[in-house]
Amino acid sequence: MSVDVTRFHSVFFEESDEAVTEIESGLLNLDVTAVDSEAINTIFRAAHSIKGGSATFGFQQVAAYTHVMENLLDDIRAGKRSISQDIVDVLLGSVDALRHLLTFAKKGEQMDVQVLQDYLHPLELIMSGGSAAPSPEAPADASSATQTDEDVLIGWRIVFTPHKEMMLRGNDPLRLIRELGEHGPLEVICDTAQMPEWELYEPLNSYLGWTLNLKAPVERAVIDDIFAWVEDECDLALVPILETSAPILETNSKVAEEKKDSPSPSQEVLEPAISTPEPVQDISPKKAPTAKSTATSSTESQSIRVDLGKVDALINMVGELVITQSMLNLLSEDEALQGMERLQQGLMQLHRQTRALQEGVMQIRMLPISFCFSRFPRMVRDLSRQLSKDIELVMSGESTEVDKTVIEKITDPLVHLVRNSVDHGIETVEERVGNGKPEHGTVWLRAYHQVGNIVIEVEDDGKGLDPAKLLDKAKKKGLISEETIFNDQQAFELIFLPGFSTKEQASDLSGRGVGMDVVKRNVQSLGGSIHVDSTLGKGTRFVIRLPLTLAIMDGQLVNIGEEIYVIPLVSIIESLQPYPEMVHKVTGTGEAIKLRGQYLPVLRLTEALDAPAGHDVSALENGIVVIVEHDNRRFGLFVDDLSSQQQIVIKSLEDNYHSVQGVSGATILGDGRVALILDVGGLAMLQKETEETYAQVG
Amino acid sequence: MAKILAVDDSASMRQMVAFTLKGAGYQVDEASNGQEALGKAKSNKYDLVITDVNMPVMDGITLIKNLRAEASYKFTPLLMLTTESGADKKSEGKAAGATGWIVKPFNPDQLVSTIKKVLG
Amino acid sequence: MPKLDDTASAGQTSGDMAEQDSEYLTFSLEREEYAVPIMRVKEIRAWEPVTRVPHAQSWECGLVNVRGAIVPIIDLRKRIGLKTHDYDKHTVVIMFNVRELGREKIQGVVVDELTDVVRFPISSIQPAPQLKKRKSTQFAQGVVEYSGRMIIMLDLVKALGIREEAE
Repeated sequence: MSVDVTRFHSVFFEESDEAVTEIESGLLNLDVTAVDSEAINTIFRAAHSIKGGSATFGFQQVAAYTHVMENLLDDIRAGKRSISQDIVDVLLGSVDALRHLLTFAKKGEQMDVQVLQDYLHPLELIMSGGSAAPSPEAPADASSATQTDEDVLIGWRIVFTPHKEMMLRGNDPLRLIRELGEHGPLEVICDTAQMPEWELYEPLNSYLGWTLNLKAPVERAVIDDIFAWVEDECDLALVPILETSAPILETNSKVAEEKKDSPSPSQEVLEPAISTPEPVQDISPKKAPTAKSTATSSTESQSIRVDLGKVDALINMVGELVITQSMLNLLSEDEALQGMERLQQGLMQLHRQTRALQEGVMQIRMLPISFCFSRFPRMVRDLSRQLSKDIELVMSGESTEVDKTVIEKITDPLVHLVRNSVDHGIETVEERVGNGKPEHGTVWLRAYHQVGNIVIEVEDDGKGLDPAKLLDKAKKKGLISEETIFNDQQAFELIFLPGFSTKEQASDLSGRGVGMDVVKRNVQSLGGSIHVDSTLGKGTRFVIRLPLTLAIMDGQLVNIGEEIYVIPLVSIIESLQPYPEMVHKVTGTGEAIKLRGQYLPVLRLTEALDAPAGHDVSALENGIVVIVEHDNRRFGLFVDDLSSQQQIVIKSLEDNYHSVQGVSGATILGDGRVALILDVGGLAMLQKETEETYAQVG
Repeated sequence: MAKILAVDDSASMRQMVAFTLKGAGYQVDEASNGQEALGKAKSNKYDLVITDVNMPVMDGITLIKNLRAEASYKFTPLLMLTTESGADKKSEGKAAGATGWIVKPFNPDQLVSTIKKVLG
Repeated sequence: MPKLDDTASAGQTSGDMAEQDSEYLTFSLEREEYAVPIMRVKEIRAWEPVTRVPHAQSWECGLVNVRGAIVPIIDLRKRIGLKTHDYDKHTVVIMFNVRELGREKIQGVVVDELTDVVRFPISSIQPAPQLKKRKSTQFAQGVVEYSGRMIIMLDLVKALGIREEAE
């Protein structure tokens, strides 16, 4: 039979990625002055497991590379080599190499051999330099070199005497004999001499011995293989039967002799002679591993790996259930059913249970944000070394749970922000000392929950933003007009404008073509917002607010013409029916309402969405203006009427269709109909366009 | 139909072992560490246990030691999955009561033929 | 999930003689009969009200909920450029499983009426006569003579506007 192992590749890659991350964070947390053996073990185990998998699944380059890593780690683990910061650095480098190798393996490609060699070189340097360990490749034992050239091998005589307790390890002598018999005609002579008296007989013990004459010229390795598992549980003598001479028990009995002498394996020439079960730890002062290891085990919660598609199917199904449930609720309002108390109670219960079920299912998609944060210690470390800055990264709230998709999409923006802080925020050591600040700078990365949102902050105690400089730059670049007046906060927000960059000279670190505008766009595409505040000379803080999940949200249902749309509740500031005197026809820019002294432009959704008009609501004061905010800019959406507010399950339009301007997705209402969710950001752009057309026409 | 318990913290290895053995007609249960395996082994009777050595929570050798101490696993074949570099683990495993070992990397066919031999 | 070549393998179960046969669903549109490979058909639904999409193409009716999935429906009459007529009790929506850029999609098509399920070998499909005047051949992949009827093989990729992956 044959099994296609490729089906396990994706799982292998997934767990390898995790293992690499584990190695990396293990190395980063390693204190070379007080090495925790459990930490080394964890790192070793991760490397070992990648090696095992890669070899099995045929990724030879990965296997070869991890083999060398593993050897080094094994030496450290066994105390044969003490660990230094240099070794940690080389190992960290090997983490990158490993990631690179895995990328190749994922694509089913081979890495250039020279590149692999370059990656291997630093590891090999360490391995070759002053190793206390004996070379694992000991000269081959000459135990099989007994046949003279003139003699022709025709078989083997094997004297096999199991120790009494052999069967207690699950090995059955009969199985071995049978296996031997598969290689040729076998003569079996049983030796019952060791059988005890009946009353002393222990049924669990093995008392028999055999002389086995195998009449086949097989290689010695074949026989060694058969007895490999039991070599230290039996006396075994192997004698070649040669055509010219009678078998003589001589040098080959070495095996048997050794067995009697010592319990250690005989022909294991590849193995270092360590029989101590616990590796000796002779590296620097040993710290009691208790505190750290409990910390590690607490994160080892039980988990199963589930295909995301299955989870999403489940979420969909629960979404359907919620719709059915709301439909039943709607029906139960029928007067005829009002009297049926038990039915009503049951429906109430159903309502609660479906909500609980929905929440529970949504929870499955949630992952701790540490999945994203874990890369930063390494990144900050490497960057600050490169820039010769002294920077500490302080993280908090790593266990805050976020939707998996949010984690995937927020990582790049965060990388950019942290890079920025390290590169541009924190000053050089000299500058800091000159300004009376502590030599080492700090970057904080925090995550926490706040009323249905997750908040992520990136803060540094660096030089801060200079509003005057920002304004100057924006004017020079023609991003804002000369006469615009900005307060400090507005000036800070300028950095999010496309085409704006505070860099006085592009460094190779942050100057990778990604600007703050991209960061902002990414955050907004997740339905979130980003703000910055800063104090010159003290530091800068970015605050990102994201929805907890991308799968459900609170929505306001609105009637637009004959249609129903959903406006995300988070975008809505307020809704009102304007008095006639609030409504203004602004020359050249369309309609606006004056609210508390401020003119807010109004976008008519029937027009923007090309919706068939319902009853006559042509005048603003006959309908409702929903005030929404996007990008710190407020404007009104004119709708016919407000309907209910409810939690909705967000569905992508792009699964079977394509994206639509002004629409961020769809949902299914209680009656099973599809309703579109309005994209306030997209509508803001539409609104601006209308304004511009008016301007052109007027 | 013989019942086998496959123990490995690596899901890919475990799934491969389980899948391969199921394909060969065995009934296979899985466990991701020694502790879990021990629990399963106590509430079920397996005809063979095949375990990885390096695992979190409880390693394979401790698992073997514990299983051998159980009356119902006195004669049961307990196999370790080792790597060449983990060779010192073989003697350690043997001392703990392992029946034998299978060296990684192995291919599915090797695995099945070894298990077939052991189970007879 | 069915791909084009699945139509051939689907026929294999029906014995050696019919090895090359494939099953097709036929429907009518303005007195013409069209066929689509049954392997591509996910389900048939009665016409139900749709949710209009702003600024959509004229032949796109809108979106419906198919067990939790948001599925677009097109009106094949409008797509082909025939005059529309009101949806009635015979009007059905054929839901297709299609593959676009490596992803499975569901798309619905409104047709006048279902007519038949037929079986014929792929080899009996003839190239469609390119008649510029006849709108019905615009989305034809070929034609088949089947018990005296002329059936147009609908070019689903074209009709549904599917972006195809470069193989």
